[in-house]
Amino acid sequence: MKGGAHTAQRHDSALKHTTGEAIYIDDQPGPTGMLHAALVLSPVAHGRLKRADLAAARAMAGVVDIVVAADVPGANDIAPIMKGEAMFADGLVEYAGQPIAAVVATSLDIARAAARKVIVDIETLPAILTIDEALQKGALLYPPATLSRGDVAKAMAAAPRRLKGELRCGGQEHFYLEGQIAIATPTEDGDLVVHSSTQHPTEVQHIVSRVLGVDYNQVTVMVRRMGGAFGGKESNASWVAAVAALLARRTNRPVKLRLPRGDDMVATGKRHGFLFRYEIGFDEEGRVLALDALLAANGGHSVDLTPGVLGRALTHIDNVYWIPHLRAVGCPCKTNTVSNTAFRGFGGPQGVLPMEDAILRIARVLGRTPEQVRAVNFYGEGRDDETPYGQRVEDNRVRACVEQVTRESNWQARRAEVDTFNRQGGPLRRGLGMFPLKFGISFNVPSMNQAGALVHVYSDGSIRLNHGGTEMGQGLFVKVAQVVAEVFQVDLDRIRVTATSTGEVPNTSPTAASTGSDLNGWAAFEAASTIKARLTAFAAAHFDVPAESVSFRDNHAHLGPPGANRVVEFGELARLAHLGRISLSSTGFYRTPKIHWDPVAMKGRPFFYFSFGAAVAEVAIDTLTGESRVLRADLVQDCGRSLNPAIDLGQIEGAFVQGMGWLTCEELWWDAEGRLRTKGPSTYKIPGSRDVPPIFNARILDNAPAREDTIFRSKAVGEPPLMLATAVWTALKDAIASVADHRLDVDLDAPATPERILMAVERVRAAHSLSRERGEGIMWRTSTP
Amino acid sequence: MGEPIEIVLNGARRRLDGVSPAMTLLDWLRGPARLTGTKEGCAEGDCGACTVLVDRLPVNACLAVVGQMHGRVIHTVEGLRGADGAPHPVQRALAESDGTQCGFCTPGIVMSAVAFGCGGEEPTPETIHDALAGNLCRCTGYRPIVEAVARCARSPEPLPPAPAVPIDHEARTFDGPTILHAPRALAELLRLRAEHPDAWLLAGGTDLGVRVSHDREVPGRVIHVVGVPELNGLAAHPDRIEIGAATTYQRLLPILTNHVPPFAEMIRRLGSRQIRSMGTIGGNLGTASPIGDTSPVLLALGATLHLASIRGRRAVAIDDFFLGYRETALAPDEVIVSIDMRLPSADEIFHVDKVSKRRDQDISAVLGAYKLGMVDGIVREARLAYGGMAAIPARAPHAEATLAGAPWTEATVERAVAALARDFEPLDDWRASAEYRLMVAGNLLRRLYLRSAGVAAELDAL
Repeated sequence: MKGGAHTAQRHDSALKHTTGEAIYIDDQPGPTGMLHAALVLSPVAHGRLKRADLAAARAMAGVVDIVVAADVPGANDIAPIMKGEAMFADGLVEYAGQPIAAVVATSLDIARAAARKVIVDIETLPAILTIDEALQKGALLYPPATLSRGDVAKAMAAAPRRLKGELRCGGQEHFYLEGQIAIATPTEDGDLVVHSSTQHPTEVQHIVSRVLGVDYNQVTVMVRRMGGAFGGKESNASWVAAVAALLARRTNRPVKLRLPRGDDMVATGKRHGFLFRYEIGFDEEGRVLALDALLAANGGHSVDLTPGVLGRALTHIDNVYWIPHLRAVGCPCKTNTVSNTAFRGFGGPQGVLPMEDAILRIARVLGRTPEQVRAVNFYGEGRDDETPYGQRVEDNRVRACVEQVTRESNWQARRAEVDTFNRQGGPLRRGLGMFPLKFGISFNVPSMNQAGALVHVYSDGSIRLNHGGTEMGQGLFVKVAQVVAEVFQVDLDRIRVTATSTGEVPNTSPTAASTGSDLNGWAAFEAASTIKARLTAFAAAHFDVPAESVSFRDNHAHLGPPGANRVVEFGELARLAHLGRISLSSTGFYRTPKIHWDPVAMKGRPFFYFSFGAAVAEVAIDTLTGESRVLRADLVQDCGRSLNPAIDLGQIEGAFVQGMGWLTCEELWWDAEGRLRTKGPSTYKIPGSRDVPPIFNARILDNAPAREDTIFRSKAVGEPPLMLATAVWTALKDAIASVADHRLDVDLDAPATPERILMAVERVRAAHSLSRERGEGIMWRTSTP
Repeated sequence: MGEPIEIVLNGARRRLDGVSPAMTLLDWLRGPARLTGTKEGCAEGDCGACTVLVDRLPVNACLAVVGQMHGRVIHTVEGLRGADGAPHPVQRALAESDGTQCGFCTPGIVMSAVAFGCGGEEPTPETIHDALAGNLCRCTGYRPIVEAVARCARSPEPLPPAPAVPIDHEARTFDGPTILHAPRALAELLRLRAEHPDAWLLAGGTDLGVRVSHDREVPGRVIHVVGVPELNGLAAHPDRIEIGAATTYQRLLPILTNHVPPFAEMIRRLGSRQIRSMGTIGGNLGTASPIGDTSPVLLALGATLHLASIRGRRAVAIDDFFLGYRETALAPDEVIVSIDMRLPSADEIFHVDKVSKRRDQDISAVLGAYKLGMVDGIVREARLAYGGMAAIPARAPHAEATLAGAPWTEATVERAVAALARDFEPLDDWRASAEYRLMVAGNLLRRLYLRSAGVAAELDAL
């Protein structure tokens, strides 16, 4: 059979992608009479909404309806976790870009033109725009969360060495190529069918129902594919769909709401920017004894998914390191900016940064290499292996990953080569950096770790597969289909994966937290296995052979003892089973075992297992302009026993480049009034093809089946490799440090834009020249004394 | 009523009846033509999801209006299958190399790759990245895309042929809500300009197209200038190049590569191939953006702009052309006909440095262009011009004065760097702070010195 588990299979839609025949929501032929919607967004960051003058907009030919908060029949509340997050600003405007009203018209151009004619009267209030301001004023979305173990104060005081650090990282725009979109179509009895570009159809169903004040069973949400999502279509897709649904309900006509790129970028949430402050105690070998850290996240104006993001940042502060005494306080800062949300890694990419910053500083003060300091701090095997939240680090593969990447990157030789290059002086510097990774797999909320699937075998043996996971490009559909092919031992092309729908598999979790194939793969396995058991029993009875002698191989059922040579083709067996009145349809259900979590104490076993990885990156910087290039990257990522090495490799490479963008060229810039000014690809720069390291070796860790009972011993891969890009940041710091012959610490916030790199270089240069009393020669020419 | 716009689409002639000439090509393709393979990713010409081929060159369909497309041969992703219905080799290669994930950027990448294949270029990292600079992919990390493009290079699969009967190229006026004039002679252009001083002068549309596509502006009247032969001259002389104002970067590039390589290198970074296919040098000057990349180069080289109106013709030195923020010496009835650009001589140091957050397809934080006339190690004449440093692209008079007559040494350079602070009050925005811009402007001068002293200073050479 072709296309079972562990084989490299192409994305199921690959050829349709390249021919342009893959249909995204905006490509669907609109239903007759479909209207188009546009949003009216707040121009100010904080203020009292006194009045929205809709008259001029209403008067335009082609405008059918305009809605504001007061027109919401159910609850004007789109909160995914807590209550009380307005869909349309109601009384108070809390960020520039917040939806105030929506216009629906006979054409998109009319809708957008009318939206511009809505006059909003807002009394401006003072706005809090930064984490620092929020901390200063105590503006938090909810009380801080603390992860702690041991006695930090005592351990810190007793530590032979201590140092402090401060570090900031920016947020990140998802920049899915397909913007947010939904089409809501009224059916009968007030019911609706909603096509939504969403990672979370069930939440769209819930939010639409809440906004309209109807039961969940009146709303069916469907999604065949998304043009990218990356977490940005987890909670944010819901309100876009809800606006379309509200307008559809009021006009009783199908309504499409597609956000133009600029609206999408100002109105929808992003990755959380963080401010870290920490003190770390350690001994002369560099062993960390205590860490006291503040993690302050910019949550934006509302809670959204911040508790989950901050929780994951806290539970990844340790990364691969044993920290005996720890206190990490997570502050969810409330600012008058867009409410930040899920983004691939979900707090993990931010959470792992402070320890890397600390390790580079520890290495410098002790005169050791960062690699030596990392190695003495790795979690132990059998001892020193408990995370601060109480879960043991089992089946720890970090050393295997680091060893492999050290070897394959030819680290030792290149370290010497880079140092030699830098000793020559001149305006160009090179840097080498490493990063080891541990990432916990499972939603931090145990109840979310469940999934359902629905499998039909038709009487010709063709198979229809549906599950709660959504396809956003990550290749989930083909991976889950491979699981079903493996169960039935039929060719992959016998299986058709259909659009995710709340009508087929209900009560689903979002496709997020890297869990898509873990959860839905198992659910589909269960569904297919149920049918397979029925087919086995039927075949045994029908052909009068013992059930244990029935096996499935190569698109056939084999009957009788080995060598009996009695076979029946799978389709024929399905036909016979149907005639024999056997149900050939089944649901399947899976819940992740072993996990539990106390979110208040921050203790438990939140993760079914850990995924590991390691990366080495080499960079070059221009100390005259701060421009940088990544020259080479070597990655090793633990995928367990990969379900599909081709798809997993794509995830590793793509995530790394996305992480690289977050840490280098992608910068969100708000003006003094709190308006986002980087709201299109002309101003917000994601990596292009040339930015990818010219030498780029991504590898899947060999011979590494998962120890836990994951689907066919595979591991999740969506998010972990994004963090491998941290090696680019450590490499940049290394390059900058070379300007002062590695004698000084480097402060480098992310994203490391040319400006931040140049300023870091200048600080190091100034301090270095000061420390040597005066500069010898012209500093920009050479830094070697 | 105006005349109908006619194009050749995927091998067949199409009349665009009842379509406003200011409708974007993208909206027309996805709407009335029901060809939804071409995607909208940004509507501002930066993501490439809407890439189509116009006369075999890649173009952002979001920035082109259909009135510009009259008489042109357009291919979309739907038009690539062979006569037997088989996918184009590029389509197969991208799919087979795992070059797609979400697939939304893919049709645009396919079109850029097809254009690259048709162009017959040698596949090197340089040419491939150049060919892909206008296409963003957020999923794959590009490695498989680059490999697929390399595999398909120099294998131009025939595209659907254009019909035997060519579309005429007469002067035309199209109307819808917008009236678009497409004159075919200078006199006619000047008459139209005199009659309609408020009309948009449309050349390539890489700037005005953003206003239509992204900002959804509906211009009342547009004069499309690229069909005027007098604006399309291109001639190299020993000491200068005459460039018609409507010359696209794409046409200009070979001649610059031969005569002024640093300018050519900058043009490759000014914009993606999609932008270079359409954007014109006259348009870049006419918009007078403080961050337009060609202006500082022409300021440094020295150029004369030939302007014309029904009142007559005149020549204006580039130094006198930029008056204020987006304000030029052009009279309301005037157009730029051509640019007469001086070439650097052998005893002149000439260089251009562009600094931006991303190397490709990004607007400059700072662009520096310098020409130094050298005699025996002494700077005879200095022309230093910058973009991003003021409300207009401008020269640095204090720094120039510091250099003129001084020996070309580190100490001189340091004095010139210090003088720059008196020349500029740089912009302070999302691309860079004023402080950074000023620092970099100085460092670029230092880099110029290092380069002349033979010190390795090119990041991209590593």
